[in-house]
Amino acid sequence: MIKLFKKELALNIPIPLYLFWVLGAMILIPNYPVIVGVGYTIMQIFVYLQTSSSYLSQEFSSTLPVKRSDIVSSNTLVIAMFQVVNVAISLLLMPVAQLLYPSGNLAGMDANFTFIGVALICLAGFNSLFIPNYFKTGYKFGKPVVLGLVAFVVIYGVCETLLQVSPTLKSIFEGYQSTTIVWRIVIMVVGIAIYVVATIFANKRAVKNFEKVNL
Amino acid sequence: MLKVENLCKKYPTFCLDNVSFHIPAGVIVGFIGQNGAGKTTTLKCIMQSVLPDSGTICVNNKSMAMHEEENKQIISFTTGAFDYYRNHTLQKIANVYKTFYHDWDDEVFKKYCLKFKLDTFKRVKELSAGMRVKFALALALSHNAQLFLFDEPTSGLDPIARDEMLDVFQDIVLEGDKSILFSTHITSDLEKCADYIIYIDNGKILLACPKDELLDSHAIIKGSLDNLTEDICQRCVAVKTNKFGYTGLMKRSYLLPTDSFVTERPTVEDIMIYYNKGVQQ
Repeated sequence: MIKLFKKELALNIPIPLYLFWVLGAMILIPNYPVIVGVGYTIMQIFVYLQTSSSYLSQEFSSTLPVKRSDIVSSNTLVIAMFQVVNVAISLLLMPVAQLLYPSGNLAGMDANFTFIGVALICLAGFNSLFIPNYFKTGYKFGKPVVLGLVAFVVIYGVCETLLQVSPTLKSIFEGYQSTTIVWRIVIMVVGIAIYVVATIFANKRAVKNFEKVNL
Repeated sequence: MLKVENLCKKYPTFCLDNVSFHIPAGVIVGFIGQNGAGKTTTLKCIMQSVLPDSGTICVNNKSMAMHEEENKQIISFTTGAFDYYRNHTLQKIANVYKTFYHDWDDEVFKKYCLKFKLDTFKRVKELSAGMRVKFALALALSHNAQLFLFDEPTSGLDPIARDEMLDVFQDIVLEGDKSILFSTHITSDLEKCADYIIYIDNGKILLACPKDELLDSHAIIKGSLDNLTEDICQRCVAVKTNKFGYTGLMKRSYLLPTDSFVTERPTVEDIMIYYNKGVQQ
């Protein structure tokens, strides 16, 4: 599987596609919805799979001495790499963002651990719908992307609304105050757990779907 | 080397129907049939790119379904011209490709690149169709495979390159431990190098036997229309008529000492055409 992952990196990902990670730094824009930078990973995935499809990459992989399940898993790993690096960049730049706008973000969620957790849960929702549906064919990504995007937006919308309408939740999970930081870290850890579990399950379902595909 | 038994695959408009054949070591097998007869589907089923509904495929007595990864180490599969990763250079693709094979040999790859005049710094899209076929073959020949599955390997090649390719095929099987199964429409290629012929029509294997046996056991018959009788038609695989007379393909075992028509040795193309006509009739 690692060989296939390396093959994806070498042949299927155009160098400019890595530049999308810079968009993780959008967290530094004052009073701007912080989730937008994470949302760009979806476009990154879209371009990656479009490149892969135009190169007939899966057909090529099927001629190699590899397991069919590994073709799926290597693709999932690339998708996860795009997402995790983007979120990690946001996490690394979070202290800088807090310095740049210490009074918080007027355009929604603040750049704190809660945001990282929520971003990962949104991506978990995206992966759960996108990855298994994409691997029903291995080349049609229009409908799966729309389904994944809907999951992403709905989860984010629910989380953002809860934070904005509930003063209790807002006082705990918003802002940068050290007194409630533990709760925000808990949300981040829960987000990581949900992301990992959801992506593994999405991959398992995708492997099952891809077993029936004729290349 | 390769054993395919009762292979079935159903599509809405086509099905492979109990396809069975056996390829021993050290032979070149021509896989013929008209467009859409099931050649590519059979090859893809062997490679598990298309999953069969039923049947077994074994390479060196190891089932493809159970030992896919292991078996593919010793199989080379090329589908005509190399059409993947068109924006990458040949060298970059080869560098990635070789990491998947335990027995990759850089020297052999270089030798074939030189032989086929491949510039490995060129991108795939910069190559002609014929050169892309040669690149696919250079990759296929460089990892010490034992079973070569080629889907239309010589289409797109000029006659000189085709001849060169057939020489390469003969070199591959020379030591007797490697086999080639190649599908083609260019039946003259089969005349030159195939040891066995497998003929598939509409998803069914019509013929599978050594080429010489196939050609020796059939005869092309020719005569005038006045002499064409119902008995001759029934003994023939198929008969074609025109205003000058008739021609047909007949199994030599059906020839009678009293027959007055002219007989000739058929070509593989004759066999393919008449059997196809016979099935349609």
